[in-house]
Amino acid sequence: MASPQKDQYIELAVGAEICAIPIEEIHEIIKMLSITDIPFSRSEVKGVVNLRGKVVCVLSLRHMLGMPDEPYTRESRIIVVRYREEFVGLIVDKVIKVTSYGELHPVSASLGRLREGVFQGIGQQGEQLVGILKLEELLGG
Amino acid sequence: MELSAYRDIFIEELNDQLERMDQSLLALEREGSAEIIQTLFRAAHTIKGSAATMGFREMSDLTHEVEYVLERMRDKKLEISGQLIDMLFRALDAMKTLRSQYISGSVHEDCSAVVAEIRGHLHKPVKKPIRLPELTAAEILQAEAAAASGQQLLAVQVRLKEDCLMKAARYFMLQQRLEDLCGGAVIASSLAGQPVDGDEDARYSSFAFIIAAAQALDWLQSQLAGDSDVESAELALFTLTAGRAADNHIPELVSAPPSGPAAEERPKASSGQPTVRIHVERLDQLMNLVGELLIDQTSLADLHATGQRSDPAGILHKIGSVSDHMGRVIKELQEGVMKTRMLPIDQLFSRFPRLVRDLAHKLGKDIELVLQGGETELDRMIIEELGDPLIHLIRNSADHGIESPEARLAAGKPAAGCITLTSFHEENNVVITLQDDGQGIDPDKIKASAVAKGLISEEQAALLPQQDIIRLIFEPGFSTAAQVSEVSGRGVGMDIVRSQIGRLNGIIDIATEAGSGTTFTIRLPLTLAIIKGLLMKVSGRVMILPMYNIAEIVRIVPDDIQTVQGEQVIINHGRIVPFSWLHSKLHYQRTERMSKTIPVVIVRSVDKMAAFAVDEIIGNQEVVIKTLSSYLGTMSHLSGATILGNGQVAMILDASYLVSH
Repeated sequence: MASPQKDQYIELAVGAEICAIPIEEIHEIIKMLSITDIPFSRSEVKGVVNLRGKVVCVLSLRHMLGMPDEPYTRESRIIVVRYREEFVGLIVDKVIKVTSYGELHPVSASLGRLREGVFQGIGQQGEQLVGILKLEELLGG
Repeated sequence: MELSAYRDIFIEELNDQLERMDQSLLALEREGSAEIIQTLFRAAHTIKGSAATMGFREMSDLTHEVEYVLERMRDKKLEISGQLIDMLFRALDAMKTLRSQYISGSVHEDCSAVVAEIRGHLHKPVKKPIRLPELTAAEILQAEAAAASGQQLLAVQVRLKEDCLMKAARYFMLQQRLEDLCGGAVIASSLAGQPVDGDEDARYSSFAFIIAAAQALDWLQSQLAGDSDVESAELALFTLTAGRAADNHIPELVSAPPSGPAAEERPKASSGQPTVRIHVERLDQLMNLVGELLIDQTSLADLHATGQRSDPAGILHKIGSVSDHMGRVIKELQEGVMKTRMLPIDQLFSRFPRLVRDLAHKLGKDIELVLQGGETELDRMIIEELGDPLIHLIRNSADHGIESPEARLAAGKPAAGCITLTSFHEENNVVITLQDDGQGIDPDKIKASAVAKGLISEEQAALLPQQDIIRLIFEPGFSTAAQVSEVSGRGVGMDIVRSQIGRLNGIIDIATEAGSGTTFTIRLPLTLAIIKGLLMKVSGRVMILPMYNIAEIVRIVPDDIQTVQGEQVIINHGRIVPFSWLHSKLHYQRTERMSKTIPVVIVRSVDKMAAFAVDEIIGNQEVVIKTLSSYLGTMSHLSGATILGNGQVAMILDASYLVSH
């Protein structure tokens, strides 16, 4: 176990990029399920899945971060997170590990306009820098 | 707050009691029986008690007054009058306002106006406060000396009963008695220095003393209250504020003048927390069914354990029969659970007598409301959603349907109009009819109005059959009332009613006869949680439409599709129905056709129809409706999703969207 005062994060790959989500915001991580598409939904919405009897809406994190969609692989995962009173799933290319960061930096403006607000901070572990997602902002409330 | 756990229970009980009071008050207005008053009294008493326990002071104060009025009515000390009943209704409204405040936890509105009104009514004529005597310098010194010696200074305000004879004599006797009782002295009297004159008895009907007492205030109070000629005797501690003692009124005795009726804000009739009350018997039945499932599970486990040894064919057969049994039990369980969602429609109907009463008063009409079939059970959610459209229809009937008493008499009808609200089951639907014996709807007026408003052209109007013309009232922007009235709104009415009913997957229809009345018929599904759905295949996907929206399933050949004015249509039973491919409607690629015929579903919603071609009809089955994530925003083309037998999610399409877009 990491030292208790350090928050834990799940690191995940989206395209060539590595992001992190605070572990307490994650409800569960599941393998890809068969997705039913929803007519006339926004383009980041990939459809809905049956999560043990619950109909859960799944979104493409690639799309939300401005990357083109790729076919799902054996490593693709759905990260189920809380959204208001319900759950939504975020499709990621790969879940890497649970980790914590020695240092947290504020978001620099150099990330570009598209990414503005989507990250709550940058985690640093050794040489590596990882953007920590701000789900609230990403999901729009 | 540690009581918050009980708040929901309190609110629920409050709902019950308020409903009971509402009904009883209406009954009281028709015939004042002691039994009804007793019912009201009990309800008020119950509310008072629980409100006080919860620390809701405004409510307990208000109900205290109401209870007092009712007590006096019961004891025949107060005569039942229209004015009194109106006042009680206002008090009830104030209680409802308080209820919604307790639910929302918002700032508590002051209901003291109603309390004051009731008090004012009880103490009629409003009595002037009794002025305390002004102390002379010598008296002040005397008072100060008494206070210094450890005696209490008290102000005593006495009001004698009106029928008390020789009030002057009573005054002197009381003064004497006070002096004896208090163990001190009467320092001043409000009537001191005035001549004793038997003819001016009225002067002695109320008076006040300042006394210095060695005895306790409570004890003195109880002694004075026992006097048969005294209507009220109030004691309070008196403080010397040199020379200004005269301003020292005792606030309790001053009844505030009634200041206007309580704000006429009508709280939404929805309850605070969505809780259900279930009959224990129903719960027991559910429990039994769960028990049976457990037994089935045990026998399956048994079969698994013995299965390795014995013959596979026998095992398979046994598994089949266990599965059959489980299927039956699950079906019963499902029905049982559904029943716990059901409520008698009376829960909704019971709000309307009061509504009609108020409407009739406001409109100066005489309207009777007849309720039938209140025991019909319906999904609680539908009942909640049905309130607004029904209120709208009732308002409409009262305002536009029922004529004034004079007009009715002139037309040879009884002066009192009648609105009948009926509910009954028909197949898998609940039917609600609202019938009035008013003037009916004149199709020519509707036609003229629709043309004038540009809803249809004159040529179209000429071609429309009578029934379709009447249905124009459901079109947006239509209102026949010559004047926008306070009662039935501003012409945004009937189209909203129709869409509200449509949202509940219901259908509304209208039948009218000029001169003799109008009937609205609403058809609703029993429940919204589980529906019978038609499963169809469209571009490789399974799509579902509610069965009650399916008018017919037909097979057509491509030649049946005709183009009229650039729109594709088919003819169904001699009626022209707009046609489209469900694929293109949903922006999917159309799949290559294998067979020569095309399966077509004819979808009906409210009073519109449309035909949609699909790839394949799979069949119908019961589906559980699951709501879609709020992340998606408004999805008016979908009523939800469901999970199919194979675990896949399928979309349930919204019929009203399909036919109107």
